[in-house]
Amino acid sequence: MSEAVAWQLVRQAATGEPQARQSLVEATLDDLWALAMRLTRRQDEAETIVQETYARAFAALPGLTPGGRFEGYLARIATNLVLERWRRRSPRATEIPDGLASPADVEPWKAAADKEDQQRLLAAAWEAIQGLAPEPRAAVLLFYAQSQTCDEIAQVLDVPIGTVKTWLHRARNQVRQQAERLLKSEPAPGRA
Amino acid sequence: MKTPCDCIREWLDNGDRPPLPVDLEAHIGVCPVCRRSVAVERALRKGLRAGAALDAARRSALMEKIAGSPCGAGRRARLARWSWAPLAAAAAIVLAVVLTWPPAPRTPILPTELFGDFLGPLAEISPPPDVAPAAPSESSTTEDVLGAFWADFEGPLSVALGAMEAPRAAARGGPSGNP
Repeated sequence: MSEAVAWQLVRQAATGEPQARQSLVEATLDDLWALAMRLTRRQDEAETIVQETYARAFAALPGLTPGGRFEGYLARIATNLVLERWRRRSPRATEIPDGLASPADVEPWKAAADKEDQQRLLAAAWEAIQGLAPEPRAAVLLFYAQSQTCDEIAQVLDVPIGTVKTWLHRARNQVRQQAERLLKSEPAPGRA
Repeated sequence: MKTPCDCIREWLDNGDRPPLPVDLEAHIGVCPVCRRSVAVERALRKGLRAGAALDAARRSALMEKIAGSPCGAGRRARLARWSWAPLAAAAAIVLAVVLTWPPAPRTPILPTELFGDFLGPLAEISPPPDVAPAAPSESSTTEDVLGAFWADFEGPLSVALGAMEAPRAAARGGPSGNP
């Protein structure tokens, strides 16, 4: 969906046209779901985040001025909702979350380790990510899982780009080290 | 002079995800430490993206839920349930202030109403009502000083003290009433 079409739909939806709203949801739901799932790794939480994001976005439509991508606007709302949830609760002990138990094949990784190691590595990385403070956690997930640039992350989190770079530098090192430590110290059961 | 390992570390820290240069690809073939670091980084980049697809059944269910809550009606309803709270709190404060604010007394309040028996000992040492209070300069006893003090004010307190003293004076057979 082009920006012009999206903002045309936004204008129509702001006047209360249900069809326009439906079209906006149709066009943006998959990306928004992917973002919510990558940030939370929980289907129930992702569902709540997605619904709440649309509710907030549609409630604010009349005062919304066109500019930028509507998907970016939704992503900012969703990320802030996730951050609010993270701030409300302390990091919890991590079981293998939804979607990480059977990750997609990762070709470069398969050369170095088997699939079981890959799963353990991702679980260890996820655990390390869960131990981060909310903002760095969001930054590192947007970087890895959403493949966003530092500039995009800075816009979503509304912080200077230097702050994002600092967060990423520390968080990525921490996550990588934890994952590497796991690989060095704990060979998968059944392997030498 | 940067070693290939330094270059690998820089590549790992790069926030723009450039592709790994060919010479560094060759390096990770011979350096196990760098190979592991690069493999972990690549695994994170691809692995954390996985598992985020929305299946058709969930998608249609989610579409229905979103369509069923027009413009965040549920959220607004939740907020509306609590919208009376600030108003109620303000009303409660105003009511409390109005009820507890002491109005200007139209009739003098008797000290006994305020203090009860607390004034008992004080009343004991107050001067008899039929004795004219002496001037402070002529006072020599505690009773005289207190009598002059109360007479100066001639307010509700001295009236009440007199009234309180009257039954006692009557019981003693002496004169009653205020001077």
